[in-house]
Amino acid sequence: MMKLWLVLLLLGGCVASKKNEQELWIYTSMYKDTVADLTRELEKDFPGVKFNWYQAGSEEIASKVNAEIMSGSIKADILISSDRFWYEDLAASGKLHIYQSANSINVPIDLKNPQGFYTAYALPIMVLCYNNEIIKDNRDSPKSFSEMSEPKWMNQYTTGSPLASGTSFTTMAFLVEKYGWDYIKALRKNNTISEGGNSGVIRRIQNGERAVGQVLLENILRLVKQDKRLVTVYPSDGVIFNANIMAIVKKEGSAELKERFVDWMYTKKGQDAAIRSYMYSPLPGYQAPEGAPPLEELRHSSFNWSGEFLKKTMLDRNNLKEQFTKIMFE
Amino acid sequence: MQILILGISLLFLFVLCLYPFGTLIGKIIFGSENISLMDLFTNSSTLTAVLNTLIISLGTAFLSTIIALLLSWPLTRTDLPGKKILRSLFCLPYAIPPFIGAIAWIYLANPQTGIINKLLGYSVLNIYSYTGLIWAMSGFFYTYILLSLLSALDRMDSSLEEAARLSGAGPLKVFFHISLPLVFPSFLSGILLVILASAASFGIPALIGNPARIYMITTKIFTLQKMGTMNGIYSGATLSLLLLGIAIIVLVINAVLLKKKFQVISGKTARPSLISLGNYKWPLFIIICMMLFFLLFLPLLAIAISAFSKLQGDISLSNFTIDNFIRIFSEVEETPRALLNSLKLGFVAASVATILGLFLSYLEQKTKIKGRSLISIIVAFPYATPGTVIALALIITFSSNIMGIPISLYNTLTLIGLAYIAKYLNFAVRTTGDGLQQIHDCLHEAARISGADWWTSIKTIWIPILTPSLVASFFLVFMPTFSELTMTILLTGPGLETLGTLLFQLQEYSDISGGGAAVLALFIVLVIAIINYTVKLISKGKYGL
Repeated sequence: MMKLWLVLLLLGGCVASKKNEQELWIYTSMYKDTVADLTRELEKDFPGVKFNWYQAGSEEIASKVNAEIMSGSIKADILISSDRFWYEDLAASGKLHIYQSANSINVPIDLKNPQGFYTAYALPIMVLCYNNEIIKDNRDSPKSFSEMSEPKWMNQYTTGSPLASGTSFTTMAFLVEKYGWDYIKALRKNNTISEGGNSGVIRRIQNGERAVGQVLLENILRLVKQDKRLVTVYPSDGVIFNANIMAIVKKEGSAELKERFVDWMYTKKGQDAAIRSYMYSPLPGYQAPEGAPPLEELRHSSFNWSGEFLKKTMLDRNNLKEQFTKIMFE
Repeated sequence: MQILILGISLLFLFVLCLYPFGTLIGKIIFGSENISLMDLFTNSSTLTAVLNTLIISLGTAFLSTIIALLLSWPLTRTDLPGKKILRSLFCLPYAIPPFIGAIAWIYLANPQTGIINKLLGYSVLNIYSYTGLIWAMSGFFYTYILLSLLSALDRMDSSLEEAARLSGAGPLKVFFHISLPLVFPSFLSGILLVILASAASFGIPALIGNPARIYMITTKIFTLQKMGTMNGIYSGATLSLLLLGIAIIVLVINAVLLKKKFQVISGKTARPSLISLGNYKWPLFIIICMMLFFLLFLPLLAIAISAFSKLQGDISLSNFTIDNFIRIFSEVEETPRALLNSLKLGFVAASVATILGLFLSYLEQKTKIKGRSLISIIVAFPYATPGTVIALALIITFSSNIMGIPISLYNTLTLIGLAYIAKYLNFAVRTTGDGLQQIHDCLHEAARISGADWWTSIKTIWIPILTPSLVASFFLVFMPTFSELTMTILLTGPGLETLGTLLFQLQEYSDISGGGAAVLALFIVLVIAIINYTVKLISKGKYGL
């Protein structure tokens, strides 16, 4: 028995011996090339700091962090992902550090937490996309989210699953707020496939399994140069702004490095990286991503993040997902 | 020596298969969240999930049994041409990562644009159905039964068959009345593995079952976990107790069916004489090749089309490219690291699990220790538990300290490896157990009488006879761990990419043309084929799949 403990100890010793350098653990749902892009710039401006990224979908990040909470300590220092309601949860349970960076003062009030628990770092937007090999005539193309509930889109529509993707959940919450559960019931009637994340949606449009999909603009813009079959539609009932939320995890010890990191993310370098990855900057004065219309054009017709909606959805999140599951999957 | 080794094995069993789940259940019971077990277990959607799980896992076991039975006789007892290569190829489908396999079948047989449906001109096949789901799962899981049957039939003393044949029984009668009953324990344990594996699988049920709105327990657990609340996480973990329930029932059935214990003497017996198929040789060969086409080449073809496509979903010569290969192997910087990590993890997990499995099944079958029959039930716990729940249990258990010792395994390859061993130890115990079952105690007794100690008799008698089972066990653990995803995605950290997580990244996020994941999937199948071939080459064809 003794020997075994020794072996285990040695094993752990090898693992636990870490160098004494400063490091940051960042969990993010942003794409890999965005992370690579950011790291290159960050390493120049933060010499001697090691950046450890864990990159996965918003829901995996939530699972990992929730497991860490259960084990007693959160490893992550910074969280950047798209399920805003989860951040409200974290804030309410005292897991986040309050910080309002001077550089993010100009982020509109609806895109941050009023107490300073988190701020949007970048804005992915949800639009519609169709395959022009299936819908050949532009006049037949879909025009709005609401239209997708009409019987003519039977067997033609796909979305991501609100259970698997943060942006799909946000979108579902907005649409239910506006059109009620009847909308989702009609989608179900139309045999809509709601599965996986945004790339699954794109895959189904590309292979023609579904003609139209509800998908993030960035997923389309990444592909559209090579794949001319994909056509973006900015729905007439409004695009849906998601928010890639950035927050600092509350821990003992100094938060100085983490705050410096957040400051940096709102500098031009930090914001340009997001724009290069086809997301909008929440700060005024930045141009739209390549191939996308200016922010102002979309913003006036978009669904709005009111404090009331946010609070209601956060409290109701479980219920929303359950309702959706009942209607769509059972 | 014997006591030390067996003691360590038991300790491992405890630390990997019981302790983490105990910790998790402790958190559920004493945690702050109140979960009403009654509500959770009796609501209608849970019952539907249980019913679907039973239908699908029994259906998969049934279809897999038929496929394996059809194959096992010609592949072991006849002069079928190309037998050796066919055997290897029929074991390969399990090397295809399940969620890529599911995408391939969706591509081939979705009702709107499935390639097969297009070729046939109208929509005949619908992968989004019970049959579709059972077919896609059987296409992976029949390999368990086939492997069990092949290695048992190979080891079997064929003189009994000869006797039957000399008494005038026809070849099929001999197979079904003599051979099959003799290898019944292995056969049964293969079937049970399939039931457990399909009840606990997630990738295929998610991709095919969800659009078909066929809910299984694992997908139900997933939705609960994704509700985004602690309550959801706990409820999901609690629901996985249902899968444990199914596992226990299955294992008890196994024990009851095997009550009349019998031992088959194995050792260096004469090779079974092969039955000449005569006129049936080529027709049978063609049927077998067609099966191979549907089980292996068709899904591989769909993956290959994706791998060689500039644009996904466009089948034309002008769309052909090798850019995806160039990108994955020379531009994606994680590829070499992921390959190395997966090789390390796969080798270590498969070796440790096999050795541990051997000792544990020895304990269970060849000793008289009290409670030994619990071993096969305990190793089935992690196997029947969905990967996400295992990962959760391991993070909670091993991230701050290990049973009081303040070291953390969180964010290390070691923890990922432990997860693999815990999950797949079941395979190893079952496969090596089948082997042990066929060694009569008299061989061991003879060695002991001749003065060999315990270790010598293990080394000189057991291991040589068992090598085919050990190799089979190694591959059964290696193949799924080499591209494992559900547990790894939660346990991975910076620098700890594996082929599974890279595949997922490419599929879900970062690959522009979408062909990268397919390239990697082809590569995974190729690596496993090469390893198998190398094993065969080194052992001069004696071992390997």
